[in-house]
Amino acid sequence: MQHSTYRILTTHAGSLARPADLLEMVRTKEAGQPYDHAAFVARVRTAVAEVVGKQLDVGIDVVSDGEQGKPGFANYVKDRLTGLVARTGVPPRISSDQAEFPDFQPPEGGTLNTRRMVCIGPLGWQDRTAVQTDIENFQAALQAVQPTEAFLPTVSPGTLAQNVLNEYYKDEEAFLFAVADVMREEYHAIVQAGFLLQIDSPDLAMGWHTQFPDKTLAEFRTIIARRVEALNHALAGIPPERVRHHICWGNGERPHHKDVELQHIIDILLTAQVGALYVEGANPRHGHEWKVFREVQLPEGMVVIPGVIDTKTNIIEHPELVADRIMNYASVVGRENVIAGTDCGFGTSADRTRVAPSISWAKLQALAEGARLASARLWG
Amino acid sequence: MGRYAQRRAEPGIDKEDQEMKRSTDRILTTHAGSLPKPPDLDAMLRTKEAGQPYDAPALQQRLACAVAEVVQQQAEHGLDIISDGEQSKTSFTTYLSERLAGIETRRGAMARAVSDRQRQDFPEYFAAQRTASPGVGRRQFYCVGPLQYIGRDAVQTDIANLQNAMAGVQVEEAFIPAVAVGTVEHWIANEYYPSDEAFLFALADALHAEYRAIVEAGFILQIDNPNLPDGFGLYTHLDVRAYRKFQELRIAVLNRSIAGLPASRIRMHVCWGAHKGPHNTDIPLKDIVDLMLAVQVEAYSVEAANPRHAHEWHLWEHVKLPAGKILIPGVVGHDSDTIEHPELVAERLCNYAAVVGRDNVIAGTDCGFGTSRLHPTIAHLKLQTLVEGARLASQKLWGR
Repeated sequence: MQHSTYRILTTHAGSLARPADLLEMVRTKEAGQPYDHAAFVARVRTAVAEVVGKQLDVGIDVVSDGEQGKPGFANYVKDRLTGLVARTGVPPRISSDQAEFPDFQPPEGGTLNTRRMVCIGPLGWQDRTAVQTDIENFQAALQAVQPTEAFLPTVSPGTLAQNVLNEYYKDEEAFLFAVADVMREEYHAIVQAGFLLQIDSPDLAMGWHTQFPDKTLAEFRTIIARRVEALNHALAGIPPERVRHHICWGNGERPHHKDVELQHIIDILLTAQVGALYVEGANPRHGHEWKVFREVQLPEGMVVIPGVIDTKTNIIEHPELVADRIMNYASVVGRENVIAGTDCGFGTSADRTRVAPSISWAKLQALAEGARLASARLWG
Repeated sequence: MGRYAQRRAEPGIDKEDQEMKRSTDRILTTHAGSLPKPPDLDAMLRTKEAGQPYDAPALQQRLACAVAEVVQQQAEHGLDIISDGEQSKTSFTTYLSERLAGIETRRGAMARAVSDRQRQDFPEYFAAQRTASPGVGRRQFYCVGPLQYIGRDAVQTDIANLQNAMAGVQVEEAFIPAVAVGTVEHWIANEYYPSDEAFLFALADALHAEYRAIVEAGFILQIDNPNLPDGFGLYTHLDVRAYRKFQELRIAVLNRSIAGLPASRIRMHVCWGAHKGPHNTDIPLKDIVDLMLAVQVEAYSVEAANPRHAHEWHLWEHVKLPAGKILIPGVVGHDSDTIEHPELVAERLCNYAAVVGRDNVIAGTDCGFGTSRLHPTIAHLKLQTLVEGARLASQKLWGR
């Protein structure tokens, strides 16, 4: 994995806004309506090429495929795995940060993520070609350009254990490790293709206020420690320096005042066998947590990717603020160990465009400009 | 500018024993004025504003009661310098339309907004946010005769309601907000006076009556002047240089409007418009800070929490806050429904204390929480996090 050896590198959390026409195709496909499969496949391929070019245009160093072909960062697996169905009518969980005011409606938008995945049979692969298509689309897009590095995002076992209702395996433990056993194939495929692997583990942070609001902190820590073990099981054989691990508290503009504190889970996060720890660091609930890294001894060679751009709001960060944030992290973990990122994705669910697409690109520009300012300060 | 500020100190105002409270042994807390209103009161006010029949005694009664409630809430949160929450006003600025003679109301929507400069960059975002601009509803206002202040009863009602509400609560101080001349100019079109200057000075003299009533009642007067920053978004034909020239007159007029009132009883709030848009074209504070400091008030309340302006504390590394003045940075904002962590609030306050001195900082909010789009519960949780953050900062700054 590239470090920021002579300047601060930039990246983001993976998903990016889809073009309007592709989004319409995704909607039709997800609604189970007839759609032109060949046209969809072709459009995803061109969209990946476009989104790679745009990332380079705005100054992103470590680029992704923008998850252009996926309906969401996690629920895409329902089309790839056996044993899963998408069910409507499962009541949504009420997060503890929303419980105090039931009349508050988080302005999250989007409907693609409202169906709940349910596990009703043994997990296995029904479509091994999907990840190969992701890889080939990305490789094709990268033929014409040369970014510093490229990554493909994928979902963690723990996040599927959080998002999927298990009705088949005997308990959560059995389900968690069954997910790990099946997802490892996708992880290996991405690494073998030469890309950095990004594991998306929002569950390790957001799980407390969304899935387990009634658990104590100690109980929650036990749960996520086990989930990290399941992740390590799935990552066995993959060099840690090829893996970045994204943690977040949920990509919604909502109170977040019940979020677990980073200081209370950081030791567990650091047990993951990965080369980069990627955490939210921009939004006002977590903007102070750069200080947590003062107290933490990072494993040798580990990179920290802090979010320095909020992906929940439409106000565009001033590049000077981005630079301040990067400087804070550099002061505690060393400049070469910081890569500047965004808090989360700009298209976590394909149709959840709380941040207008044009504004999301302006935010990425502010990220790159802020990294330039910070680099000038840090390297003189 | 001095030539405009000719009014002498007025009787009835005793400067000597009315110093503005400062953060002498801890960081004091305040906010920008407006707070969420009870829905029933809001409905009554809108009925009245729309010119429909309403029950005047019931409104007066509900208003007095709402002010008492909002004062009680602020005291319970632990806020030090509190307001009436602007419970009597549907808008921090157009409330004045009911307090001025010489203006006429016509049907139609305002043609411009403080977000206009950004709108050019992100048209599809603004098209999707039909209500993103803090407009003034389906009314337009025109000055068609000599301006005169006719709001004496209204402001005395505000004063009496706040005085009554203060009985029995423990707070350091209280303020009442009132709008600044330049901000009123955003929504009243002059069709009567021969020049902008004549119109503005007439407006200044009319507003002075309201300001004076608030100061004489013993409250801190907060002049709401978002116009200084957010006018740049509205007057899109002006570049920074021309905009500064444009504002110089507005600042002179503002000083005229408060001339004769003790600066020690006045604070001014400036901000870049309480909408949640991109704000990429906001004029930087550095380009207007000298104009802001030219206003003869004791304290300056400035938006500083949101990510477009959170870096601007660095400005005070180079710009000296004049002796005796107070800075009230916004350390919680309306730009996000996410509630600031108290440690982040404390970090922000410590940054300001480091550059202007702890005694010269009071913790504030970016803008009013009644005019912005925050859920009422979130607004109150943000005020709690403000107080908690100030407590943490005080521990760090005073070492206890």
